[in-house]
Amino acid sequence: MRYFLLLLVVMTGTAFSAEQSDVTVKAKPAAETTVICASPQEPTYTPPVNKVTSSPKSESLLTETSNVHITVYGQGVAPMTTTSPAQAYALAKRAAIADAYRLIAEKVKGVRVEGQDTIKNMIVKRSMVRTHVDAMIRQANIIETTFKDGLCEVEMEIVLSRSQFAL
Amino acid sequence: MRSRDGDRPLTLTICALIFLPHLWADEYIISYRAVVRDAIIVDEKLNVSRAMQKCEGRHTTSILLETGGSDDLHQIIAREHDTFFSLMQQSALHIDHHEKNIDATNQSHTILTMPPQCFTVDINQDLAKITALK
Repeated sequence: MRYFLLLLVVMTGTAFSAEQSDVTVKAKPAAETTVICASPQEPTYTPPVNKVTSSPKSESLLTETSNVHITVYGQGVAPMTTTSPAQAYALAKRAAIADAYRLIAEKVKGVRVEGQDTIKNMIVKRSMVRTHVDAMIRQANIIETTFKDGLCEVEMEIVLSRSQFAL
Repeated sequence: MRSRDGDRPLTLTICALIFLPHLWADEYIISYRAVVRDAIIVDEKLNVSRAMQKCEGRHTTSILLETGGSDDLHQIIAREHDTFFSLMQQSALHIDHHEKNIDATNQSHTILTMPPQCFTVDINQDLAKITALK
């Protein structure tokens, strides 16, 4: 009788633990579902981060021993009301030189950019972008000038050395 | 060796001919301004005036321009603008550029300026020597 009772207790315990394990197995998918629908605060999924790395080979740096050569190509157009091809060339060259100076200033000093978009009823009504360049440039050299079909192109170069920026 | 007119040595005359023009060279204040709109030059102005005060600074780069029989510096520079521009480039030039893009229509406005700067000018019969002062 005593052994029977002990056997009964053992069997009941085993059945209870089996029932408990069944619940656990059934609850597992539910737990997974909860994880998927978890709130964003929980650190469940981390997207891969693309690290932006600069490529030093493509950029020339200003060092104590090496200078930086900046070459630009300015373009200018001859006005429609010119009396001779020589005048057209001269005027187009003036415009091209100013454009080349502008390009050098953009590269050396930078550009100030301002933008404004007006949107009404989810439709862009007006889009405006303003850029501004303001600089003093010294010792720029004209390398080559070409004139073809009313378009003058001036190749201009400036050499930057570290000593120019040293205090 | 003596000069033709008497006791003065020829060396002294030659030295005077070389150095005195530098002392007596005229000083001019020159400025330049070019306005470019949409890649077309619309205005260009070269201002030349005699300096009313003695300029200070050391001589830097020089250029030689043909006078073409004229003693007007404005005309001389206008005739050989490219050569003079190479001298201007050695000094500082100011660039002011505005560009506006409204609804895919672009407008640009560029002003290239050389601030007033002193130059010494020595005009002979055929050549004018212009030297920048810094």
